[in-house]
Amino acid sequence: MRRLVLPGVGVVVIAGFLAVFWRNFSPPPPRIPAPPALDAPAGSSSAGQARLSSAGQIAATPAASHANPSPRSELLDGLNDPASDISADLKLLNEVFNAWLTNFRTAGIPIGSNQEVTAALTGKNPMQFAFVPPDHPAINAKGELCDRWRTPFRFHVLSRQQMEIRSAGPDRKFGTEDDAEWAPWPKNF
Amino acid sequence: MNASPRHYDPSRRRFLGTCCAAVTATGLLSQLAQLRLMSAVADTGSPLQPAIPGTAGAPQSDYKALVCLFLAGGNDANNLVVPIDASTYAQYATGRGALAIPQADLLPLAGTTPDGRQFGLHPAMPELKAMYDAGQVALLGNVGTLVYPTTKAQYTARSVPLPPALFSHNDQQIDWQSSVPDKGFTSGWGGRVADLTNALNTNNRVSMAITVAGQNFFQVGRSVSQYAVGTNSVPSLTGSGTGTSVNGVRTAALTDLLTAQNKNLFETAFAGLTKEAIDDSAYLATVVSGTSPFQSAFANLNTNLSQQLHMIARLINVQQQLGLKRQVFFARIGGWDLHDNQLNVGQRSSGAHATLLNDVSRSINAFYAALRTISAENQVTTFTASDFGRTFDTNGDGSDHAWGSHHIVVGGAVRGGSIYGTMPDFTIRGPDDAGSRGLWIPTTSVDEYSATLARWFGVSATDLPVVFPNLGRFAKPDLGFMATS
Repeated sequence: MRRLVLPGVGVVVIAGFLAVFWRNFSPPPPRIPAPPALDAPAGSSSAGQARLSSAGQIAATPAASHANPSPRSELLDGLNDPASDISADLKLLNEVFNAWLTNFRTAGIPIGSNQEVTAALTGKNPMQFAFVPPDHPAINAKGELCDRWRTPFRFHVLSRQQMEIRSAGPDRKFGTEDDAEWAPWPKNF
Repeated sequence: MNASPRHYDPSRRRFLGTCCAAVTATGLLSQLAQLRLMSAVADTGSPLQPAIPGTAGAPQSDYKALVCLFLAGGNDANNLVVPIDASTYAQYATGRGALAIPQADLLPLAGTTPDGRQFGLHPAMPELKAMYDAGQVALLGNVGTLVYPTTKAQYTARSVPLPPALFSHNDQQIDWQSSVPDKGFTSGWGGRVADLTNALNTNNRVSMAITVAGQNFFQVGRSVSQYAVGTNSVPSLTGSGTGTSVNGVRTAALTDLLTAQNKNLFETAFAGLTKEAIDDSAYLATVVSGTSPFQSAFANLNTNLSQQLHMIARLINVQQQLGLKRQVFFARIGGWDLHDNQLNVGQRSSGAHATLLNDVSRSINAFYAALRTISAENQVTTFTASDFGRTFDTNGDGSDHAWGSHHIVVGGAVRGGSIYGTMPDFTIRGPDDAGSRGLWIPTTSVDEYSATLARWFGVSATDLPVVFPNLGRFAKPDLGFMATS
């Protein structure tokens, strides 16, 4: 009889634990497919759409979710807002480049003329992601991103990780006292 | 059958011991590497061996020095060497727009290029023009960073690898100074040349790689470290002295601390190298102390560049005392990134760019004159380098980042009075334009330019690929502008 009591108590205790765990245990969420590798070569990312997380990182969603179009990037929505100023504009632009770098760290920031940089930011990039909506009101007919006085910004490449951004200011002429610039790093020249 | 603890424990101990040894060794090597950098002045030669006694003045016959003059920011060489024959000037004037220098102002250079074009120098450089005429200056057309020889078709199709981050200041500065644009930076070509030729220096107490413009990529080597000096003096320990003065007592106390026996290997190594650095810095300061013998050569010049070159001349003057038969120097002048206000409207031969070019012209001329007073002009070669060239067209009143650029080589050993390499076709969107604004695709690589200088300096033909691993991809390892090459 004693031989049966001890195992019996054990079974009861184990069953009790199982019952408690069963009640509290919830099944794991469905697994989300891993995003494609970032810094992927051009054209390799057409399988999925992209969205921008709050940290600026593009998160890819599977192709099956194409029914829900990716949200419009709002990173540059405040650009040239009359209630704001040029300093805030430059800061916003810098955040766009930071978002770019978050996703294309190896390749670095886009290099080229304003037109080329704007094209890259509006979707001509390996992820085909529009960090800036192509129909952003600050983009002129030539495809250049312009400041609040309608002069194209000057994107001055210091290095693959550092972009100096300049606005010609109200007089619309670079190299004068009213210019504004975002300089992330002391220049070595 | 059962694993005996007696067998297991020693194995575990051995494992842990090995790990600890590995970690310690790694740390030790790393620390020693750092200490080596701290004591660049003592990077060769035993501290027990005194420097070769010598005198200031004319260098030994087998002495050679390379001086890299870096034009930081990207020089607009389109206005350094300008076409002056009628048809090419017309093309230049159209392409440059507001940046075009009036034809009448240019300083014509004798002769023509093989394709029949004639060129002139910027009017702010009469000294350099005179040196060119005297055969002391050579010009090199359209040099730039390349991974492989590149044509416009290849560039457009991206069918050959290109230097990453073209048109980016910092990246292109590194590529120019490393001459290995397709790999991550590990060393500069000046540093690699120094590594190979340092054996020619015997008993030297001071590094052969001296910079008068702060740290740089060019002189980063594996065994030779760059040593920085100021434009007017050699850095020395402040508050030091001799005798019973406060500074003397302080110095004696520091010496006692540094020479004390330490139980710890790191402390001993640190103290030893620190003392060597202090001693050798003091030694160098003593050697170059006093009134400069080159005051007259640099009279009426007080720019930072002239001061840098003046200090280099003083260091060359004492090379025998320093026990150096090879030296690599680095100087730098900034301000070339002229996106705006490049020249004066209405007087295009003056302005910011002209001021910089004039500084280069006068400073190089003074430097060469100084070297002549000690008969060292044939043993010292100065060459320019820069981030990149600039756009041929204008953005309004300046120019933007481009690619190929023209450069200057100065010295008695230079086959001067000629333009080497191939000057670009100045057609916007033409065969040499990488874009639509006159971004010249280089026709000569930095590798070829640098290898020609390195060969003159003493790097053997068999060692050239060690210094320039990509050199074999290009047609001319020797461009012919050095007399002995």
